[in-house]
Amino acid sequence: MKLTIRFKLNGKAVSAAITPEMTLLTVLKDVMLVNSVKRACVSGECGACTVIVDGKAMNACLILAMTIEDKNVETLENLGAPDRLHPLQKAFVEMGASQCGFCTPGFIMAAKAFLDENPDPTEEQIRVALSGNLCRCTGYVKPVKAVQQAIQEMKDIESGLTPVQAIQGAARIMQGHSAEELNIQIH
Amino acid sequence: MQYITYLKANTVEDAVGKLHGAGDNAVILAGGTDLLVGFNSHSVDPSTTIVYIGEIETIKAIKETEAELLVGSMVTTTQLAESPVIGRYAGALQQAAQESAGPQVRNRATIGGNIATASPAGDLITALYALDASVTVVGTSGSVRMKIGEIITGVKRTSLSKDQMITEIIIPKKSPGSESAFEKIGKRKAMTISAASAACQVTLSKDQKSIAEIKVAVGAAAPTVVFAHGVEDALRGRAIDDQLVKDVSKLAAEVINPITDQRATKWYRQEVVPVLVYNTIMKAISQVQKAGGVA
Repeated sequence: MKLTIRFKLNGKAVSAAITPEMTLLTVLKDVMLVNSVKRACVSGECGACTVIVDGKAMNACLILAMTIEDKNVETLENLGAPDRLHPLQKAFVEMGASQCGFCTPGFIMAAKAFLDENPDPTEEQIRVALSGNLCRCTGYVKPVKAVQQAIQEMKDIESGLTPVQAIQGAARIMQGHSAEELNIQIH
Repeated sequence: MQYITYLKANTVEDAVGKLHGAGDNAVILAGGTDLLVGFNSHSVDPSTTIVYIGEIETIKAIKETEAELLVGSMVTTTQLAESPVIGRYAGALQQAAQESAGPQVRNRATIGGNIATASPAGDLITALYALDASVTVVGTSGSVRMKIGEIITGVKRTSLSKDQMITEIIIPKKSPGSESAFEKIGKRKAMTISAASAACQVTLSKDQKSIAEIKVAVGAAAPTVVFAHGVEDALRGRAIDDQLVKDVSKLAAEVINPITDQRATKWYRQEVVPVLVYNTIMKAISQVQKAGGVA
């Protein structure tokens, strides 16, 4: 018995023919062929299947697909593309917050849902926001730093500065000052 | 191939009717964070009828009357963790919610589900015992209100019949001079299932020098949450004394019946429960004192 569910996937109205025991993870991965959503622990422990449902980060493996009728589901595909990365994606690349990359979509979606509600968090709040995601390669320092960098970039974009302008602005401030005065440490 | 049946309930009455109609095959789906783990790990009996209660709007809010907090059974752990009203009147429940699972699970898991799942390691239920919570249960034969301890009867066992659902959790608002606290321990900080937990509610005397009333609950150390009545009796009416609290907290080890499992050994649970009990009692006392006795 196939049933049809209708929901919004990354802003677009979609429908899928499913069976009633399917999870949202199965529907996204195997029916809708959404690549970013990862199947790993399938028990809500690892966060690799994290998607955003009506604004909240959730594990797709623990959601019966029938229950997402009429809901908004957002996956990593909604954030950016290789030529125009979302600040979170860009920061994860630049900080090396990703090694094998399997956990990365889940981390980024958990961070995205969190930053949508808390645009200016403390480091401790970021750590809590990412605590439902496991990484077995790089660890957790770099993802946290990546989120912090993304926040800074989003603030710069909000204040109307492009990344180049932000760097130029910093360069102007630094001109004529010694590294010592500016407390710059060269690594 | 035969598939399970999925039914969405629009109201509590609708849900009860659908549960009744499905008979022994009925399974309530709320947040699904426990149920779906089971579905994913072994094949689901195709005769199962799922009744989804997540779209029933009347059971999703936290309300308050003069004397009580009324928490809808579909209220999520995130709502409990963030609600100022829960923070003000049921600190132990808020702390338990904040330490339960991780953000993704907290966004989905519900208070009603934590009770109906009846896991001995459920964090919210340990707090609910200490807060003297009651539960409203609705079924075809009407609505009944019972204490949380009457609903949970064993490891993953409840007194609920197949056509009954939890609709509301009732928590008496704490009196002035009273605070509650929760503490748990597990193998790591996030996403950890409690190896043991403790919650208490302490009411101090007007002069804040002695303990007027106290309730202590211990979780994940017996088939159900248990009250540490020995600790309560030894402290009721006594002057606040750090060493006394430390000494009598050891009595909590006598009421528990821990097992050795993947999360901790029996020996460890016996050793750590008194520490958790002591910590929560001292935390609650210091919170009352900090608030200056004005609740």
